[in-house]
Amino acid sequence: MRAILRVERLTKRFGGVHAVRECSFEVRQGSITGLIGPNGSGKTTVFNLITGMIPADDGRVIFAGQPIERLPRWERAHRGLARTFQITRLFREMTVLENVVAPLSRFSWRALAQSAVSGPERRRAMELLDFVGLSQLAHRKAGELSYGQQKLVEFAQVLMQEPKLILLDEPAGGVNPAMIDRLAGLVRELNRRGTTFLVVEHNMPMVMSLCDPVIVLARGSKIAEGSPKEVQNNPAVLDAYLGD
Amino acid sequence: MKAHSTAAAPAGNAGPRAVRGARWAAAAVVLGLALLAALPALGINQYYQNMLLLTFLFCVLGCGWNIMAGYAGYVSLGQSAFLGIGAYTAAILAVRWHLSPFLVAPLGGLVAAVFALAVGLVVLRTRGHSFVIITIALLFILQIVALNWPQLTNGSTGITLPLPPFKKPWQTAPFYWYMLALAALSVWLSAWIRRTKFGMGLIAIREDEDKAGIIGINTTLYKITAFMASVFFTGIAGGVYAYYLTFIDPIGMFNILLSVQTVLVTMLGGRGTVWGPVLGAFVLEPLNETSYAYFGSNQSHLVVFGLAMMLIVLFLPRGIIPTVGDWWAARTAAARGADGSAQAAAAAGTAPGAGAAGPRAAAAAVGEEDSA
Ligand SMILES: Nc1ncnc2c1ncn2[C@@H]1O[C@H](COP(=O)(O)OP(=O)(O)O)[C@@H](O)[C@H]1O
Ligand SMILES: [Mg+2]
Repeated sequence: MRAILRVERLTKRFGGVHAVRECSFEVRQGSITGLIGPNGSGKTTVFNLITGMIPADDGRVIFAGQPIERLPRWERAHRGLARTFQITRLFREMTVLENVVAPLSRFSWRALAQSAVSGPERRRAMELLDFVGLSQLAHRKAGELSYGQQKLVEFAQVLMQEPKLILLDEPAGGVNPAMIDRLAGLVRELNRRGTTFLVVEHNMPMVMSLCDPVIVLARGSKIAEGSPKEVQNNPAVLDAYLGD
Repeated sequence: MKAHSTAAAPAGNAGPRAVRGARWAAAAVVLGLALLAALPALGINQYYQNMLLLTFLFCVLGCGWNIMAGYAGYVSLGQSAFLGIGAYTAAILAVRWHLSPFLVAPLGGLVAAVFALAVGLVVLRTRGHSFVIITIALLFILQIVALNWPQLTNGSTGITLPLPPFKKPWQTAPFYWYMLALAALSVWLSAWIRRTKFGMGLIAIREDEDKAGIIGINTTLYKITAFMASVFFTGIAGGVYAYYLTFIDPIGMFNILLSVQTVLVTMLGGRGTVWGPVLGAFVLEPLNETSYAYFGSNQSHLVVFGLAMMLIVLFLPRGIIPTVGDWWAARTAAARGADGSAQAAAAAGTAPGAGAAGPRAAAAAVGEEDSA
């Protein structure tokens, strides 16, 4: 099985805090891989290192066969890497539609000179808003939406990039149960069409039904990996959660 | 649906109305320009020609500054440094090559853009607050260089430009028209940027630069390009201004007060809006002249500036256009509330910056095509 993402001995310290410690794992192409672990175990930091939000102290990130750990974030995005944020980040003063058309999946001077919201891009953005069920809010300011709706907008924004791999950081956090089901459904649907997912999530029923395999982090390193069942029955995992 | 109807968003169905509004606004702009251009021919006196010329100069400075500070969120205090660069470039080349400064002024724009590129490559590669400091430093460094490099700049003695050949009563008109054209081009560039993908990227950078990078926006390139665009017409205006004054020296040309005034003009009218700097220039520059005429001495003049700055920050922190835009949106929404859309009223009334609809509609007005 081919790995679309390989993380090798990734390391990040914040002062005295060893947030990520020689962390290594792989994400198989076409999978919905779970990434779980107690609070503060380094999941978000791993996402930040993979996407270039912050530089790693050490280690490598191989994406689609190429090392990307030295590339600027937009270059990583152009290669097909996209993410959502644990606390949703939208351009609040822009409309929902503008937020969705904002991403660039490649760079060209000509594209920059085009109308901000126009043509096929606009159509595609409206389709995506339809897909997440928010097309009737397209012209509202993003900042005016409810938290759950904002999460869906960020999801549509990510899809606009047509990424190969999507990192979701607690997609179900602060979202009502109906919306969670809807999100899980969207992830499955996209996965069927070929997108790979790496999902950080605390909602265990969601992880167990959606993800396979599941990777477990504790204190910045991988301590276990396997099917949801295997991971649930792994004593080291129980220790990590209880010992906290 | 029309592209710019997104601007008039919260209230919804703004389609044909917005198009008609944009046509009217475009017509008003053309008419206004024609009227301003005709004024010297209609015989307004030199005092008012001078006042308007300086107003146009502040339109150029303000529109430029606004691209960086208003759209991308990077505030500078160095806009006048690029006026000085343009002035010196035109003065030096005009004297050496025996050409009209009007002809070489565009080269000043290019040199200013090259300086912006160099400064941008140093400070705009990362996110942060060093930009404002560096731009002030640039201003003072250029002043010191101009003072201490007499072979190039004639040092503190300054440079006297060729005498303009224009005869009375047309001695001011050519400068007036040149500056008016630069002001119009500056507004056009700013409006054009505002509605392109490039402009949207700059606003993304202002709102959340890290996120902008994550979704594929090459933030460094955007910022540097914006910085170059923001100083180009200012550089050209420098040459025209120098020719108008016929004499330049380092103290007068690399003057931080001009930068402060640029900030003031844009903040007053509405930072981040296309027409804000224009409105601000047309309010502040006449006020400026009047207070100068009243108080004369430089010091009390400064007090007027300080007061203006304080009043703006206290009472109009977002500037005239956004504030009036909000008020207007709340009013129309309240009127509509009667027929059931109370929700829209609440949204328009309380959302911070809902008035951005105003400036954006104005941006749309400058000839945005229908991309249905
Ligand atoms: N920017 C930062 N500065 C300092 N410490 C940080 C920063 N980001 C994360 N940390 C620390 O790193 C550790 C891992 O955090 P994080 O990756 O957010 O964990 P998780 O997402 O698994 O809950 C925590 O101890 C956290 O306090
Ligand atoms: Mg986290």
